[in-house]
Amino acid sequence: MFEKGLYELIRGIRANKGNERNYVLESLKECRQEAKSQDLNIKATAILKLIYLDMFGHDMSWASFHALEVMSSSQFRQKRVGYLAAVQSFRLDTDVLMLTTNLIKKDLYSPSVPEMSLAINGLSHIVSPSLAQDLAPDLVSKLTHSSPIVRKKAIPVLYKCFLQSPELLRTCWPRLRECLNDEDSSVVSATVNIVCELARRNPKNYLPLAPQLFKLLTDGGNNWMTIKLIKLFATLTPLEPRLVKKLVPPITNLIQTTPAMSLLYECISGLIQGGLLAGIQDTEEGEELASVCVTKLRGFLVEGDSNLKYVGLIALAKLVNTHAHLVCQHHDVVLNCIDDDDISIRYRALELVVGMVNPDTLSTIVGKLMRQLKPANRDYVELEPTGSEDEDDMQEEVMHPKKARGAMIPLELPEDYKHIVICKVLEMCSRDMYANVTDFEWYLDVLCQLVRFAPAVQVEGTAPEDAEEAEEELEELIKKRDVGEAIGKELQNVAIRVKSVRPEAVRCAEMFIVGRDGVFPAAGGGGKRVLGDSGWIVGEYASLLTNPTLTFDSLIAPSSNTLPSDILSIYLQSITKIYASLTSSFSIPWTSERKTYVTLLTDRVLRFLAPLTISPNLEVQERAVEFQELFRLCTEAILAQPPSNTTEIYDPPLILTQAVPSLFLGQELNPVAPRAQRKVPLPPGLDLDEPINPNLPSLIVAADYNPSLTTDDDEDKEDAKFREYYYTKPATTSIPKNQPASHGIDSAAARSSTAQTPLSYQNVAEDSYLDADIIARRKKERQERHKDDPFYIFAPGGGEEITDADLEAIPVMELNLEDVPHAVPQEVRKPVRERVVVVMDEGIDGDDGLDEEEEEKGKDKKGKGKKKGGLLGVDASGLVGYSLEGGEEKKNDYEEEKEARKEVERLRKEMEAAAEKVREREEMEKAAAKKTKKVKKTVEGEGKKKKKEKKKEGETEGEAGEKKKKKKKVKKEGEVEGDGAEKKKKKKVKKEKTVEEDTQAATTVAE
Amino acid sequence: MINAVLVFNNNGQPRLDIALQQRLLQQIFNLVANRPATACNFLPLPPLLAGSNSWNTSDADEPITLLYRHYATLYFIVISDSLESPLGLLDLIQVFVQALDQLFENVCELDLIFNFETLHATIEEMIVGGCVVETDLNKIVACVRESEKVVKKGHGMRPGGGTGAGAGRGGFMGGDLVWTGR
Repeated sequence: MFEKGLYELIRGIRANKGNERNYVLESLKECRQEAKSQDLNIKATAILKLIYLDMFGHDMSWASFHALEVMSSSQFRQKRVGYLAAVQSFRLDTDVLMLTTNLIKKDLYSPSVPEMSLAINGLSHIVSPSLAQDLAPDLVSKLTHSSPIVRKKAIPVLYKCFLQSPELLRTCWPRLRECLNDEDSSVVSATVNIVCELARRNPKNYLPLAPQLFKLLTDGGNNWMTIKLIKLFATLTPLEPRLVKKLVPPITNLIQTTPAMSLLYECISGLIQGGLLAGIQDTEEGEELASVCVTKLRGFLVEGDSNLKYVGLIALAKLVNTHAHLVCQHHDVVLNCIDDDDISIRYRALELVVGMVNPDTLSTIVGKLMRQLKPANRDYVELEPTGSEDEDDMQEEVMHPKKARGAMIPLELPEDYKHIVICKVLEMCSRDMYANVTDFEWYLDVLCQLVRFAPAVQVEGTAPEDAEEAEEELEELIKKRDVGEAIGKELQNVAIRVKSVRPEAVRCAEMFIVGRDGVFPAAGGGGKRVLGDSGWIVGEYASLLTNPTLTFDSLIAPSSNTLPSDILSIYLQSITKIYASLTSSFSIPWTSERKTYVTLLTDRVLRFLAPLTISPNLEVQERAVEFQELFRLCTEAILAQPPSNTTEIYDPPLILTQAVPSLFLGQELNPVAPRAQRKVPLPPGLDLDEPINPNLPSLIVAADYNPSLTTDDDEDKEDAKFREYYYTKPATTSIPKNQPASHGIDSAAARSSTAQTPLSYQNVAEDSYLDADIIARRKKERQERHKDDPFYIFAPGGGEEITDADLEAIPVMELNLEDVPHAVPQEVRKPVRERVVVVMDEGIDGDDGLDEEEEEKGKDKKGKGKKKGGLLGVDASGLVGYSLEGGEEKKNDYEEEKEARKEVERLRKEMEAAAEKVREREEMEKAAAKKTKKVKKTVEGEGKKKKKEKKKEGETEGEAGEKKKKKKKVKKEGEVEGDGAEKKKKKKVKKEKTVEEDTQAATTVAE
Repeated sequence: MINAVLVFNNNGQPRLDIALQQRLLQQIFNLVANRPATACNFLPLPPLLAGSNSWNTSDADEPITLLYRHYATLYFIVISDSLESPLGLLDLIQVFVQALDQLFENVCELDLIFNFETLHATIEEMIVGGCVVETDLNKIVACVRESEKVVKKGHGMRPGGGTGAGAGRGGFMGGDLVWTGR
């Protein structure tokens, strides 16, 4: 039988162009046969070929046993093939892995260094927990091998073993530590490497090494090791702030002297990452050092090498958090990077620039980014040629590449990049509650422009069978990916928070709603999600619309039906709101034209709603049904109300002027902190689990059979009922004007706590520091400003309660043209203010729950840290928090421990107080010798407790100081238990407490 | 820690790859192949590595760096975590290629195809268990030669030795390097 070697196989694959697959399959079949051969030579060749094929994705895990056989060959050449196969194909779950133990052990003691390194190397790839346990002692013995090659290779493999079975760390650590003193620099370097890896998981174990490491740093070794040392110190300094002072001189020295760019960069990066710069931020020296770093980093950016540019930007992005002012000095070079040809650099620059913005630079930076998004503006870049695979090409020497480059092609910005640019622009502007935005009208223009630039929403890889499900998923995905959503949120935020530009914001929203075709990008369909929030704005601030009729028409256009359901449900609400503002006016006489107009309007809404009442989306359906009922009532009322004529004057129907608007008017909506709701205390006596009406099911059943509710035969009766229901103002809508809707919630809190809780969310700021007359004046000013605004409805008499009677008394505002002075425009345009007022989130007691949020974030991070590893197969979670010295101390119990500690502390204080009492009594009852004995026992118990506390918290407290020999015993006990789990301790404290209580009871009895 | 070292050619065919998913390989290749010549040597993370993030954010738990260098028909790629120095790794690739060049005397892709064992041996002299253990070019070359000698002693011939034969070309140190080490 003709045998193919690797050479023939590769040649064969190349010779069978177009038919490779068949050839490979054929070869695989042959390999299968050859692998079973008795001749180890043939077997090895087969395995070698299999390794080659495995590289191209033809699995060779089936051959693991054959690989093992080749591994055990006595010939180095074959052995090498075997180990290569093991590295390539063995996984943690490969069953022959357990058979390798002895084989590797034997090879580890081979007299030949190459063979030994083969075994060490192989082990580093295939090590499993059991292999680690079995072979770690042998590896440790290699740490003192005569050849530095073996020593330096054994060290990283030991680390791999620690990853597999963390408890090995404790036994091997002393020997590993000694390697820091090795005479060979590569060995020391490898050890530093490993310590660096270990210290990342649990830095505090390696703090004692600091002096030794510091010496290595100052002695100067090769750059690799120095880099690692700096990285290592960067992980240690947060735990030992005193290191900062010590490290600054040598690192400064390195920065100034090193010729190696990589080392220079790592020094700067280490200074930033280790918090060294932040640590000495306030000192003059720190400021100087930081400015040196920034200057060096500027050099990175302008030097011309794109790699340096890239890393320089990363370092600056980290630095900008603490030293924004220094980084800002170089914003010229950073801005150049934003327009770099290289997309990677752009990403980095983008990240950095977000931290750099200030009120002065914002518009420049945003402008620069927006220009990139402009479709006509394309950069051209060179693309590398992609060579074809032929013999000549492959013989091209690696070190001497062709100089020829590809043609210039336009740099097509990926959609993903556009998406991020838009997100970053929004982030920059909205940062710190719009701290950087000085001109909100400009910001609104930016938002409108961004919608036009919105990239197409890419949705990839969704093809479930169920079409409906797929559609829902798609909608969900689009919601997440479309920047329109984010832009809409910004628009809404501005409309709510910045009252001075609210009319402009409403106009923008109106533009989106009305001119849907003009304002969105021509292709791709991105940005459409902005409609949701725009819809909300035009509804909420319907009185500010420039053209309510047109907006209304756009909302109820049949095309709205095709919108995503969540936007559609917002639309439904807005339609009603605008309807209310269109029809509720008192001032327009109820003529027959008006009646026809309103009837028509109502009819159109009803026609729009009709198909939506059977919408598959529940939210849409529910709202449609509700509003349909409402509008039917309106129609009825409109038809019932005769129009005014020359002789008789009729008012518009009350349902239009009162009932419908009252659904939406009331308190203005203000931004509320995301966690404010959580902090609202539950009013006493409110049980949310208790049904409001326990008979609800039966009521529903009864309602179904109640003819008076379902039939509409008896129209008069029906009408009366409706009149009663809708025309009499319900109690809930007559909330006093100056009290917010949430008053009910607040007053509960006010009642329960003695602290003064503000009655209102809105007026709290003004009320607390402004006198009544000033407030009145301000109010007047406000009214004055809106005097000529026909859409502005005043509340007569300020904050008086509006009742039915009052409503009748409201005088119809007369528009006196002569009274309007020509100087009004000056009053309307308020002088330019330093800062535009931005409404902040509201919370309870001024707490917006930010710290809680942070806490939660921390938790999230912790949770995330646990599930890693994955694709690259590194799972070091076993080493996280693994102590070198501790006994039974468990990892990840930190939270619990903290809590337990608190509890112990509390109990200790209680007991101290109690002990004090007891001592007093003891003095009082000196006479009663029998009882004192018992009390002494208590004090002794107290002493025991204190001993432990002392150990734990290092407190220096006086002892009761009695009974020396007993104390000794106590101490011993304390030591024994010192290592025990915290819980146990807690229990003990409790036990002691009960003991004490017993004695106390006893003393009381004695009294 | 270095997570992986990859070598593949202009067509994305792997030349060195230790137990890495083919899909990831493909994604990395797609990224690397579309980069202009002037671009820097850092890659954005491919979807498989990036996880939920659509791009590489620096505040991730353990930011991963993806570096590459392009020599003639071959891409050399290193995947590492934040504890490695990125500029240092670029040097390391350079040392790796120089070592190969010395071992094969004007190395070309074919050398690496037919002698991938040597390729593995070289990388193992430099990186063990994800840690860089040697950066000295001479030591690396010496060690690899040593083990090659053992192979020859045992078998009498080097399998496929020097088949690619780039003989006759100019020595590498005299030539122009694409990127001078830092």
